[in-house]
Amino acid sequence: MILASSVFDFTPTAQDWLRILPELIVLGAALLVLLADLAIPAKGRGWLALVGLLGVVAAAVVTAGMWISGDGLTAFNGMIASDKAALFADLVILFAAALGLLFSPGYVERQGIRQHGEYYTLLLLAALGMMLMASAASLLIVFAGLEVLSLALYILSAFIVARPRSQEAGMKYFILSSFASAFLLYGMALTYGATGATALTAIHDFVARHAAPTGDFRPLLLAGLGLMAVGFCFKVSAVPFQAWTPDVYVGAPTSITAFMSVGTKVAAFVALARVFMVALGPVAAAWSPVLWAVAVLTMIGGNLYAVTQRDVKRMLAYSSVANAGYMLVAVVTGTQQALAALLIYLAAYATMNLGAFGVVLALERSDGLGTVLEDFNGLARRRRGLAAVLAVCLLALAGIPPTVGFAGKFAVFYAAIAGGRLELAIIGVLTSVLGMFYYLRVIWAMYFVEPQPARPAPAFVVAPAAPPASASAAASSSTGGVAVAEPRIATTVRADPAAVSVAETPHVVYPGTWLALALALIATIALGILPGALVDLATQAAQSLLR
Amino acid sequence: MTAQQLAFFVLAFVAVASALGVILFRNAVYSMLSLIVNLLSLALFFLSLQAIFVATIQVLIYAGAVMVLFLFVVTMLAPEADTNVSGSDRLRWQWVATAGLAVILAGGLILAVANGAVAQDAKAAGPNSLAAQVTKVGNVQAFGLALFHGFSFPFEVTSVLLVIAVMGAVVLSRRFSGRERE
Amino acid sequence: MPDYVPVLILMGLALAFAILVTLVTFVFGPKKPTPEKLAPYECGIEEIEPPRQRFPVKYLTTGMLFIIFDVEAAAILPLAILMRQLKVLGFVELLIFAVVLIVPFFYVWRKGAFTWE
Repeated sequence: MILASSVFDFTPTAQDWLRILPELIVLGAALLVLLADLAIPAKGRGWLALVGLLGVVAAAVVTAGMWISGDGLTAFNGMIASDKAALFADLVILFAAALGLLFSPGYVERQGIRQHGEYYTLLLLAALGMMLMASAASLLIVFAGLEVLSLALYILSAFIVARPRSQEAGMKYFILSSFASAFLLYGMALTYGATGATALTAIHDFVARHAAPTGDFRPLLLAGLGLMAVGFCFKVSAVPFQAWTPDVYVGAPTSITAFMSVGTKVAAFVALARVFMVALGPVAAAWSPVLWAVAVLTMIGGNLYAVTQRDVKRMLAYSSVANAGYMLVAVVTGTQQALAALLIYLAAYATMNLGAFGVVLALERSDGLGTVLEDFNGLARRRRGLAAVLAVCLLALAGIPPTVGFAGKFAVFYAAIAGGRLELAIIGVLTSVLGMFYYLRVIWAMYFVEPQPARPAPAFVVAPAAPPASASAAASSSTGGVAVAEPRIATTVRADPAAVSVAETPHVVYPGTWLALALALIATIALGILPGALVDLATQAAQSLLR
Repeated sequence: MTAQQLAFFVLAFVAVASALGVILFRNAVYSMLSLIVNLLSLALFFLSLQAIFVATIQVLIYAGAVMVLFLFVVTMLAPEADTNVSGSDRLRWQWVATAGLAVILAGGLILAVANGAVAQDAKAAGPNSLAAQVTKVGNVQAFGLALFHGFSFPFEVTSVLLVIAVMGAVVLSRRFSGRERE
Repeated sequence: MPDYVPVLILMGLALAFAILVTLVTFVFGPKKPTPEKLAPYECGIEEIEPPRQRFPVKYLTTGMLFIIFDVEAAAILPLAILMRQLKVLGFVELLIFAVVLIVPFFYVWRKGAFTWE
């Protein structure tokens, strides 16, 4: 692609602004929420979520409109794309943001968060960063979007003042993720040095012209690729870089965990696909062995870690690690079909994971406890609706046929086989079977295990049982969140007898949460029964990106 | 050896020594001062590459403002007289692993540069290249033109980043001032 | 580079002046040390508490807010140089930048982070 005007005399036109209209709407909504927070009295601040939600819905409508009638070109001198892959990712991110906003009011109130304005603004800005990253057509915007989303999420992770685990989550996420950002930036700088370009199309052209035909990969380019791969693998929580994931996902407010576990994955994976599958596609021989190994490690490691968890929130965190492995299979395969499968999987993961985290969020008590496996015993009798939603979402995560989870897994493994990566598909299927164990264990607990009648303190000490398993997990996750968390759980219960009674009197689930759960449930089942539309959209999106 | 090469080697020595000082000093304040020297020597590197604007910003923002903030943090973290890091390393083996990996990375980069990794064809040339523009209108001018024309969008995105940073500063620090003391 | 030679000369002169003045006073000034004169504070006030202690976090908040707006100010530098050349474009772009940033400014103001307690 030849740029119409040079870097030094390019002038943005109205067309450029129109192509990023969804992002502009989200930004506007975020700033509006922040201003409204200053203007209205503290009592009415629950409505801020509605303002944000309206913004997100408007952005989604505009995105859909652009899908039908947009020109799909890049804006701002080839900085940001408005192709169908970007719009697809935007829609999934906006879906996650909308559900996150619906989950929030009740949860925020229960957790005693008073800074509503900041909370909703940062959530919207994080969504904006994700959209930017997923639409990036230049390494600069990949990085800028990544920083916008990460910075907002660091703050949101540490948002619950009274909960040390939340503070810990924010701190860990900030330090480790900044480190990974530095790796990514270093890699981008070296790539720029080797190719002389930051625009992805220009990098593609350079690589296709010089490196690919001769097979002569310059060391500088290789170093850049490696460092960028480290940065991306950290952000998608692939296995050698997964240590932060459980601690952050457990410590952060659950509404944020639900949103970020989906949104960050979508943004990072679409950006990864843009950089590696598309721009660096001609030199796939250089990077695919590395990502192959990471994918295998992630699928095996994520599932093994998840099996050893007793806390459902933590289990879901490791499940997100495992799912990153399946998505990496699609990236390694590298064909257009695999890209479509990646997008299908991302959309599927969004619906089922939001639903699962939503139920955990609805059950979580104000002290952040109540998500251990034992708390789910006999849940089907106490909370029939929540148990049903969680059961469906976990079945979907396990990849059982009539759900969207099956469609996603099928698409990825089929694309892997078609693309000549049979071994990855086999490992994927085997680890999926392993994954069923821990998903179904929760369903078993909910439907077939009697709940303990009373809940004295020792019942909590049962939670960290299975010492060999948790000890091994603790040892390898460097800081050992499980092992550290245990004494705190026990002491909290003993110190605060009210907590025991809280567990017995179920709190109200807010209408917004129900609405969000219903949406996630409907999407999980409907897209599972009729995956045709999703496959069609994803294929179009993949065609717009990888020709 | 030309004057430029001499300047490079002196600067390189200062930069590496001060960078080592940052991680090797046991006193956090010394580390910070060492970091200031490091950032200043980087600014001089930029200057020797004729990147006047970047050098200015490096001094103004990094060596100036950011370092003040670092010192605030150090003084806040390190109360009563003892700013020294004490205690033994629990993860001594990580030192070895890190050193090994660092040597590999440094070796790889040296190899890359020695092999002429920055290909001549990767460097932009022609009337629209940065070099041509710098000679035509001047250094900061060329930077500014690129910033306000071709790179205007990343520039605007930065403002969003700053919005988040402001909110983070207020959200994360103000509740401490309410809770901690006074 | 020749554009900056005057600056370098000025820097050299400033440095030379500072060293010269210090040297001159050191060499020619009378030196009659007493223990009182060598004490760190001559004004005689006993220290109330040890000076090395934690800074309150409000300094940090102010510092962080300063940096954020400092970065914004750095963007004005190239604009100032290119004011005439960029015409309306530069103005509009900085306006967008500033409009986005004025919102957190109001936010910080209303939250009272600019006030000292």
